[in-house]
Amino acid sequence: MSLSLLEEMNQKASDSGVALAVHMDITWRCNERCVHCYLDHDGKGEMTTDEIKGVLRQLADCGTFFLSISGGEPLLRRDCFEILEYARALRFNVKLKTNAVMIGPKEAERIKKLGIAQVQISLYSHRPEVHDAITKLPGSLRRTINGIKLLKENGVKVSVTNVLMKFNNRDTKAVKQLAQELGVNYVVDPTITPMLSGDRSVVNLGINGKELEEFFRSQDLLEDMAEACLPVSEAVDDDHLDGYSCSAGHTLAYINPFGDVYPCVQFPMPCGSVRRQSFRDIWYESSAFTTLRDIHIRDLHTCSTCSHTTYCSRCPGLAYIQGDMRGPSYQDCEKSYARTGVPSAAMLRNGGQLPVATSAGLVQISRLQ
Amino acid sequence: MDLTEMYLTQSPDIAARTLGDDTVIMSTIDSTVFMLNSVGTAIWKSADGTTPLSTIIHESVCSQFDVTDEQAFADAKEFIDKLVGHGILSISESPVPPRQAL
Repeated sequence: MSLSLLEEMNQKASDSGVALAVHMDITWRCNERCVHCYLDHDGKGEMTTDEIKGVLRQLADCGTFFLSISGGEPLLRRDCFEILEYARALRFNVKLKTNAVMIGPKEAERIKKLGIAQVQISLYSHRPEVHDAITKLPGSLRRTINGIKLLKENGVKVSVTNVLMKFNNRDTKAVKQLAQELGVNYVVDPTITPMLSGDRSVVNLGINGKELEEFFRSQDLLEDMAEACLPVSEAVDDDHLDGYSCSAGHTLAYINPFGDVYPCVQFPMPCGSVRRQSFRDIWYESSAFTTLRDIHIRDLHTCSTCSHTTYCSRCPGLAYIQGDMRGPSYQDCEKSYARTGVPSAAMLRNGGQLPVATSAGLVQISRLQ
Repeated sequence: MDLTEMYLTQSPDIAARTLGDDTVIMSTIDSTVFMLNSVGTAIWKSADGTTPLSTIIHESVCSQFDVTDEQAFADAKEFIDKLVGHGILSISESPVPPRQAL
C-alpha cells in the first residue's frame, strides 16, 4: 500500500475526527491459554450476531475503514464467517487475528474469497516444545503452521507476530527464518500487555535488561536499525508538543465482545457501551474520549520534558494501567533506555533506576454494567 | 461501443470508505489504493450497475460541478479506464442486478 496515500487518509481522518480503525474482539473465548495473555476467557454476555452486525453498520456509517476482527480466538464463534462476510459487504478493509489452529482447507478458501486483507497469526517459536508450552495447547505449532500454509496456498496475505518472552527470546532468528520459508511477513514485539484485570504478573514474562538491549541491537530482527535506535533529542519543537502519543481515541477505537468501547485494546479506559448508546455518540460525546483528546504531549507531566520524548514509543494505555494516563509508561521508559543507554526523565527522578510499575485501583477498568 | 450507455458496477473485491468529499478504495486483489476526489466519488457512488454512464455524468457530475456533459465525459473516461484496469469497477452493456441489500 502506498505510504503517502495512507498518510493522507490518516491525516484526513485525524482532521475530521473519524475512527478510521477499529479493533473488535468478537469473543474472549480461546482454544489456547497463552501464558502471557492479557484477557480472561469468559464468554458470558457476548454480543449476538445481530448486535455485532448493527455495530458494524454504525462503524461503516462513521467512516471506519480498517477493521480488525480478533479475540480470543474469533473462529470459535460459529458466526465468525457470517460476521466477516457482513463486514466485507460493508466494504471494510478487514484484518483477521487468529492462532490459525482451526483453519483447514475450507476456512482458508473462504478467507480468500471474502477478500480479507491480512491474517495476523501469533508464532512464538519454531520448536513445538516452546510454542506449545506458551500456548498450553499440544500440537498447536503444527496446526498453526498448517493453517499458515493453507492460507498461503490460497493467496492470502499472512503476517506472523513473534511476541518476545524469556522462554522464546533465543528462537527469534529461527522464527524469522521460518516466516521467510513460509513466505509470510514477520513482526517481532517485545511488549507484554498487563492483564485487563490489572494483574501485572504477566509483564514479568517479558525480556528486560541486557536481553532488551540485545534485541534493540539485533540487525537481524529489526529491519530499520536507524529508526529503532533513534537518538535522544535536545531540542523539541512545538509541533511535537502539540501532538499526541498515538492514535488511540483519535482515529482508533477498541470494542470488546460485550460492546464496551475503549480507545485501544491496550488502553482499558471505559468510554461507553454500544448496547446503551450509538457508537457515534460514544466516539464524539463521551467525556472519556473528550478528556483523552485534550491531552497533548506538552501536557504530560514527566514525558514532555524527557530527552526521549520525540522518539519514545510511549503507550498512554500502559500509562493508564499504571494509574495516570498523563504520566510515563515505565515499560516504554525501559525500552527507550535499552535502545539508547540514556535514562528517561522518570528514571532520573528515581535516582537513575527504572521505577517499579504498579497497577492503579482497577475499578477504573471494570466492565461496564 | 458507446461508453455513455454502458453500466458501471463496483467490484466486490475492494474495501472502500468515503471520508468527507473523498473516497479511499483499496483492491483486495493487489492492494492498490486509490483516493478519489469529489468528482470521482460522485461517479463511484452512482456506479450501481443500473444507471447508465450518461445519466451518472449528467445527474451526478454536471449538476454538481458546473461542467458540460462533454467535458465531464472526457475526464471521466480516463478515470473509469484506470479503475476498470485495476478491477475496481466493471463495465457492462446491460444493467447488472443490484446486490442483495444488507
